[in-house]
Amino acid sequence: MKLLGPPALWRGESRNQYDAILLGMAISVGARDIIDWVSVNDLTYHVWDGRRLQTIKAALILAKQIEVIEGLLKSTYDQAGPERDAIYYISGVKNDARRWATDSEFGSEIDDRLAARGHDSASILARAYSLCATELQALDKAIADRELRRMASLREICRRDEFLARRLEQTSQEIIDGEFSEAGA
Amino acid sequence: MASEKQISANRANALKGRGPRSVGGKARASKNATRHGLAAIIWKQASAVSSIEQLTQLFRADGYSEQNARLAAVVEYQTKSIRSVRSRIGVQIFEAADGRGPVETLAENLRRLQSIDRYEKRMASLKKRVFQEMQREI
Repeated sequence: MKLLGPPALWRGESRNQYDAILLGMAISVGARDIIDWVSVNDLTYHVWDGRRLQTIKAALILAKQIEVIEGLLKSTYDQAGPERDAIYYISGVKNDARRWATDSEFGSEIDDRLAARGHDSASILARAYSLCATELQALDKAIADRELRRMASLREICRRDEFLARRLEQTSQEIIDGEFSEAGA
Repeated sequence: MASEKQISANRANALKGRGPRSVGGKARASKNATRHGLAAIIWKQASAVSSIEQLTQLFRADGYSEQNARLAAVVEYQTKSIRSVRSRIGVQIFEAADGRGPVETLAENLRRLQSIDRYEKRMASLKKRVFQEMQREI
């Protein structure tokens, strides 16, 4: 496995985790030689990179949701809520919007506040999507491409196994033919 | 707006330019057109030659011919290079999406990611052919 060289990882990504996936796949397909290992490494990379792209997509949507929530908190007011000073609308909303993403209890409070103003979570998500539609489209294409590569790698491994199976069949047939010809002679 | 006199002076001065003169300057300028280096001639890079040599030995150790082993090593090396570039772009995309990096770079980096896709496709197709050839020889 070390002979394949280090994978192209991002800062903070775990080499051990990558190697664990690679090893797991290699064992499951019964990798025998360097070609098998390279094919399994390709497959591992496609799985890994697909996961990265999904992470990017999730991060992008979350960032845009925060942006939308910040905008809504700034531009709308709680009808029966507490009085808020100007400072809140300058810096407080930003903190609240960020906290919405990390603190689930606080997030629910914000959701309720915004829902009371006519902005439910579905409409916030829809706005977030519309803010990054082009980028999401590009990411979806990249994810789909990665999936296609993964399938192509899988087909290659299957084809290799079929090839081996054919060889095995051919060899066994030759042995059978050889036995019959010897018996006939 | 610049006057006619200024424009003609700028043009005259531009003609006097001789480009970089120092060795370092020339080396830097020679990479001005480089975007990701994936179309570069790898044999000019010492590290590439040594990596390819090591990979060739790996394929040779499994009994494959010198020619196919070398070809497979080159393809594998190029695949790794493409993945390194993808990885670098990926980090920038993630940081921009996450809000830690400049948002303006997001669309541009997504375009860059798509533009290197053709290199990956080419390598995947080449690798498939080389491996099939190698399987036939065993």
